[in-house]
Amino acid sequence: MHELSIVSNIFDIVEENAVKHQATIIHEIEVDVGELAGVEFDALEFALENAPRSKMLKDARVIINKVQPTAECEDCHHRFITVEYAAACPRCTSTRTKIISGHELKIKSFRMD
Amino acid sequence: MCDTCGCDHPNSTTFTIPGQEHKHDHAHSHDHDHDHEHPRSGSKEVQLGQDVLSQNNLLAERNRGYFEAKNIIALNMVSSPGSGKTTVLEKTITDLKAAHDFFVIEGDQQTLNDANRIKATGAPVIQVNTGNGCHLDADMINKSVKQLGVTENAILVIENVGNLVCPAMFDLGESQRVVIISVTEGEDKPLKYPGMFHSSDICLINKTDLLPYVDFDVEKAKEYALQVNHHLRFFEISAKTGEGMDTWYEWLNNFKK
Repeated sequence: MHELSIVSNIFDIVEENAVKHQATIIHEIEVDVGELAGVEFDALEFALENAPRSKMLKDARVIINKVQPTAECEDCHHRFITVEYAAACPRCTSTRTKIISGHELKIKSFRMD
Repeated sequence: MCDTCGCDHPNSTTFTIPGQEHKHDHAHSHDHDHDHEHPRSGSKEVQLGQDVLSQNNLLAERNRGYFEAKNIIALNMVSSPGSGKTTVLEKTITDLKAAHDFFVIEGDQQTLNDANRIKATGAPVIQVNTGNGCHLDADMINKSVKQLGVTENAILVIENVGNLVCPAMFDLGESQRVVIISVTEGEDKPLKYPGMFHSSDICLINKTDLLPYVDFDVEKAKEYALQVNHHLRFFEISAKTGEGMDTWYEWLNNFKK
């Protein structure tokens, strides 16, 4: 259940930046989460609903953008979308593939007043 | 941070050197006063693009830089509970302590049991009890290294909380990540928990002395693990009988040079 600490991190980072921009309230936070980021999306939703929130974040809506993972074949350099670590290359069938995206866990933006 | 309530209670994670135990009170009190104004003027969007784990990753890189400067090898040992991490560690330290200085950080939710076992080998050890936390993070390692007084040219072994999921996400600044799987588990574990095998450098297959009594197929396990991470290196060992430990020691000695 590290999702709760992730949500707390999100809130802390956004609030820290919002204070720098003299915000009084945060309306919306947009987060990119790779499907291989090691985050359980249901647990993340649960944590977002239940994590303690400061005054500034009380009514903030959090939008989660799921990012599809991409792998690259080390033999033929073909790039393809996959949700599996153990994916074989669809072009040359090699299993020497590596994940090049899908681990994102990034706060994209937030909207404030 | 306390994973139960998300508060920043400083005592939610405890650091204890065996023999120097002390108690903390952990009282939770939260005031949630949500009475405020909502100004609704034209809102402003701020582009951030910041990694949620950036603070951990930054601290991990600080740890890594410190280890490199001091010629310290840091191994992050990860596995499910019960794969034999502590036994592998006890055996390794006992057999190699004449050649290397070992320091150990033990991560568990509760108890000093593992730290006490390591202390018996003579290696300096600190127990990090994460309470409800499911993983160690870079800040805990930073604090532990300071308390332990890890010396130059040492081997620092971090025994992570027994968990094949969460610790995969948290870089500690280690030189190498070592995942342990025992033959009493299913050989498809690398496929079931690919994140951990994908992020590891070394895979120790432990308890090989039990192979005649279980259905574990070593070659199949390796094949699955290589599907997830074809750069993974394997050592088949029995920390109990010592079988295969020499190849692991050889790797460790060469890596330390």
